[in-house]
Parts: sequence; C-alpha cells; structure tokens
Amino acid sequence: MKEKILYVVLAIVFIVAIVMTAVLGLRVDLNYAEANTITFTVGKTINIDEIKEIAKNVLGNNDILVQQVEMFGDSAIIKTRQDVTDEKLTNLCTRINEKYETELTTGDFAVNHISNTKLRSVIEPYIIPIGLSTLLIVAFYAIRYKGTKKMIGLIKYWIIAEGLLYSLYAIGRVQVNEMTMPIALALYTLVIGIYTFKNEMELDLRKSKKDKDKPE
Amino acid sequence: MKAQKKLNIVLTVLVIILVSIISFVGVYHVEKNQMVNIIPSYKLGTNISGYRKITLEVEDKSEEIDSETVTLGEENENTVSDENITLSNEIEENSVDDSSKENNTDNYKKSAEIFKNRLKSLKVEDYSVAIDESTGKIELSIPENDQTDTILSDLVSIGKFEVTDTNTGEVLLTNSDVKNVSVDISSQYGYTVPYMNINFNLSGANKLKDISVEYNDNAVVEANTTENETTEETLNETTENTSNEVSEGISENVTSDETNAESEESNTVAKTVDIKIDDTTMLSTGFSEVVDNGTLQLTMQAASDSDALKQSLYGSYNVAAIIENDPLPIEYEITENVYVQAPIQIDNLYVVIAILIAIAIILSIVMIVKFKMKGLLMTILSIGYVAIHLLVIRYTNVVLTIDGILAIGLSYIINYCFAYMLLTKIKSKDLSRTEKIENYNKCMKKYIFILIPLTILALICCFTNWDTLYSYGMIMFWGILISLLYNLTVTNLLIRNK
Repeated sequence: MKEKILYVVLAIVFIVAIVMTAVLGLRVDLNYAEANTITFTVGKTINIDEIKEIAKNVLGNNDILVQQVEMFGDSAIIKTRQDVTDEKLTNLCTRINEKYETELTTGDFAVNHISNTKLRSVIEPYIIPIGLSTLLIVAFYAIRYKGTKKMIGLIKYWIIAEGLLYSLYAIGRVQVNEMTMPIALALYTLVIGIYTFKNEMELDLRKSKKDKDKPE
Repeated sequence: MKAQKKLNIVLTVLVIILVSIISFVGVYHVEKNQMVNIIPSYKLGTNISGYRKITLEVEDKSEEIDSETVTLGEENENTVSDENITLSNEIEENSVDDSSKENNTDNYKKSAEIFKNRLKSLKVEDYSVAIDESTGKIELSIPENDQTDTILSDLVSIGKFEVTDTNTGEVLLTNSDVKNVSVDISSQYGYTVPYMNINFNLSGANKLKDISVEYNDNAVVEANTTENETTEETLNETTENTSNEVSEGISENVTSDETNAESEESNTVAKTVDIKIDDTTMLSTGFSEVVDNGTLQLTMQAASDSDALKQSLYGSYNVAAIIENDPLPIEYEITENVYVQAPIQIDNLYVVIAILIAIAIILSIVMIVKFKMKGLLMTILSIGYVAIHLLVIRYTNVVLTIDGILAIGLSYIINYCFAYMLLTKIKSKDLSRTEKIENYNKCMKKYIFILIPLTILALICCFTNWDTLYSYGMIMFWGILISLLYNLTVTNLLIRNK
C-alpha cells in the first residue's frame, strides 16, 4: 500500500514537472541562454573579478557571466540577458578606462547577440553510450539474476532517480548548467552500483538461508 | 610471529601515507631557482579549461554584387552594361521574394546540421552549436587542441564534391553518391603517405564502375582544344590549401607524358575525369582498371617526419569530412574566432570538490564509529586508494573534466562499498583467521559481480570520442581496476595479518 502511495506521489510530481516544462520551459543558466555579449581588449592584464564587479554595477544585474578571452589576459567577454544600450556601453567603457587607466572608446567594445543553445544538443551525446550500456547491463542482469524482475527493477529505479532530478530542475527552477548532465550521469552510475550491491546482498542472504535449510 | 604481523601492518600503512603525500602534495625539486613538482599536472578538459568559440555568419553576397556593379559602372560610365542590369535585377528579385525568408531559415538549419556532421566526421564530439534562425548566425564551440586551426581552415568550405568529364564538364558523381570516406596511411620509399578511400553508396558504386570502364587509360576522345590543356597544368590550378595537399600528393597518378604524346600525334586526347572540390580541380585522371569495389583511393601529401605527417593527416581528415557530407546550401564566413575560458567558475569547481571531500569525510567517520580500529585502518586504505587513483590519472594523461571529477568521487564510493561489506563480514572478534580469509574471498567474489555493470558503463564511455564521456569512462575504468588490484593486494595483506 505504501509503495502504491509513493508511486502515485511520484507520478504527480513527474506530471507537474512535465507541465511546468511545457508551460515555462527549463530554466537555463547564462551559458546556454539567449543573451548579449560584449567583447573587448583592454591592452593590460585584467582581473576577471574586477570586470565582473564593474559589469554588475553598470548592467545592474547579478546574472552576468565574465570569461577571459585568448591567452594574454587582456581581453574579456561579458554575457548578459539584458539589452546593451549605448548608455550602458558608454558607462562600461568609462568605468573600465578609470579602472585600468586606458583610453578605450565604445567602438572598442563589440556587442553581439547570441542565440540559445538547444538543450537537445547538450543531451544528445549521452544518448547512445547510455542506451548501449543500459542494454548490456540489463543483459548481464538477465544472466546473473535469472529473469526479468531485477532488470525491470533497475530500469524502474533509474527512471525514478532521473525523473526526480528532472523534477528538481523543472519544479525547483534550478538552473540547467554544465553540471546538470554530469550529475545525471553520476546518478545513473550510483543507481546501477547501489542496485547491484543490493541484489548481491539479497542473493547472498538467499544462499545462506538455503545452506541452513539443507538437511545435514 | 605476532610482532612480524604488526610490523607488516605498520609498514603497509607507512607506504600508503607516503604514496598519499606524493599524490596530494607532490615531489618537488629545484629547477632554475624554482621549486618544480616532478609529478605531472592534471590535463584539464574543455569544460574546465576553455574552448574555441567561433562565430559563423552568412557571407553577404549582395555587398559583393553591389561593389561589382559600382566597379563596372566606373569602367564605363556612359554605357549601361548588360551585366550591370542583370546583377541589379538579381538584387531586386532577392529583396522582393517573400518565400525566400522561409527558404533561408531552412538553409540556415541545414547548414548548421552540415557543420555538426562535419565536426562528427572529424571526430570532434565535444562541440556545441547555437543557431540564430532569423539571421543564420551560428555560434560554435570546439575543443582547443593542435587540430583546431586545421579544422577551421576548411570548415566553412561549400564542400561541393564532383567527378566530372574533363572534356565535356558533365557531372558524373557528387557528394550524394558518397557513403563514407576513410583516411589511412601507408609507407612508400621512406615516406609516410596518407590516403583517402572514398567509399560510394550502391548507386555511386555502379556509376563508378561504369566510369572506370568508360574512362580507362586507353579511351580517347577527339581533341577539340589546344595543347596547353595538359593534365599537369590542370593539376596546378588548385588554389585552396586542402586542394594543394591533394594535388601534390597525387601527381604520381597522373596520366604519363608518353600517353599525352601519343594522343597529340593522333589528334586525340585521353578520356579523363576531373575530381573537383568547390569547382577546383584536385586531379585529372583516367582508370587503369575497372573499379568494381565502389572505392576510389586518393593519395595525399607524403610526409617525411611526424609533424608533416600530422598536418597531412589533419588535412586529409578535413577533405574526407567535406566529401562525405552534403555541400553547404549557402556560403558562410568566420567572423569571430577566439579562445574563451570555460564558463564554469573555478570557485564552483572548488565547491564540487569540497562537497566530494565532505562526503568522503562523513563516510569515513561512519566507518570509524561503526568498526573502530578496523574502520580507521580501512579509512587509511581508502585515502591510499584515492592517492593512487589520482597518480594514475596524471601518469596516463587522462583528460579531467567535470564528469571525470565526479567519476573520482564515485570510484571512491564504490571502493568504500567493498570496505564496508568486508568489515561487516569480519567484524566479529570470534572469527578465526581462516574464517576471515574465507569471508574476504566471498566479499571479493561479490565485489567482482558488482563491478561488472559498472565496468560495462566505463568501457562504453571509453570508446566515445567525446572528451567529457571519455574522461568519465577512463577515470571510472582506472578506478575500478585500481580498486580491484588494491583490494586483492593491500587489503588482502592487512586482513591476513590482522
């Protein structure tokens, strides 16, 4: 009975997550999002944290990504979801000139619009390796544990674990970022490891019970 | 005997501590007045270190046409040239045509797909593509390595592959006839020569067979051109770098001068085909025998040293990727090409590592509380395991990515499971040495079965070309192997002596 209630709750959670994704979409972090970029070269070694601070003050938003460009340490790229107006660009230029004692003009700042990265392309490379390994692992389960019960169990727990992770991102509005897919992969590995461990323990228990029951 | 056993345990623990210090702290020596660690550093992957960011934009043809119109106008101001009118008409037509917008979006999407396929053919799996469907602007990010610049040199080529009749220009084979292209190397006269095998699909193979019959070395056609159209000159027409590489390499395959001379005498020329990429002739040749295996072999630029070979091979891979995929429906140009530091903040990475260390500490405390002295000993063994794992990762040059870091944590947990399972079996003080060894063997057997599915996953990940998964697979694989060997040797030794 408890199990049934648990499955109903899980089903509700998953449905809510799917509906939320359909209505609102997943919340992606700035690296995957549609945004504007400002690329510039100062000509002096810059500190990314300082640039980030300036960008936050000028663009008035905490959701800013600052990355170093090239190896010389004098260029950077600022990524923001906000519109980059002439006023903001002039302000940014002035603040950087003040900080690094340079004479940059707004023409030295290249503003570009970047489209979003499709999440499908982030997930795509994982599909074949994970699919193939699941098939082989399921085949191993069929041989080792004789029957389909454990095979179905493995797939069930895997779906539940990944479904909960997905629900966390969809309902909890956690940002999908570079860590998302590695976490999903680690979760998959953990499910396989823990479930196999559990099955081996059960097998051991059954064996020792059988040995005890055997007449001497 | 008891003292000997204690000494064995102490020595083992000391060795583990030493290995741990070497792995976590390093071994330093003075070099040029600086302390240098002789233990290799980690090779960081794209999602930790950085990547190449490339912006591709649709080449603005109208601008070119405009400038051409202006030039023509300047040349002959008083007369309106026919060409001028035609070009202006073309521009007007383009701007008026409403359906072209939709067509453009399809072309942009198709182009992005072709770029993806080219990268896949080049075995660059660790890429990301973002397309702006209204402008066709494509943002690409690919790993930074010694092949990156070579890849980019040809990535935006239209890639129209054609085999045409030299004399009539009739198109005999195109990209759509190609199934795949493989690149390999062979040795000739002390040189290493890369070559391409263009494998045609069924219809392509049939066409190729017919062509090889029709255009055999003895086939001739009446000459309708002057002598200056010799094969050698045709070969030298190549302009692009990839085409150059091919033409230099394949010059040996050209129809011999003797044949040309004979042809001139009889006022006929040998019937040959041109192999072209983007209307640039890479090779004009006939066939000495019937090709019925559906494969056309092209020899590339020979190399005498490893650097030249590497460059030649990279060039060959580029040509292969172009040939085996569709040509681009529209022309693109690279407008931005910069190396960008990874978006993951180093602070975030430290947070991940700190979380993993915290988990390890909690697990160790649980083990020590539950199994007391034995738990402490197993904790020390686990630290030794992580130390060896990290050393192996560095010495085997495994690329470390975010997935890889998580794989280190998972390997630790897997090894911990074995330790926990073993301690549960041998915690009773009443067990004799033989019983303990027996329990250890049972645990080991169980552990091997637990490792099998994880090894399957690790090995499959190892066979991917994608840095991120490869790193995960390799680190997991090493983790599993080391755990197995470590528990078979060190843990076994301690169990037997305890």
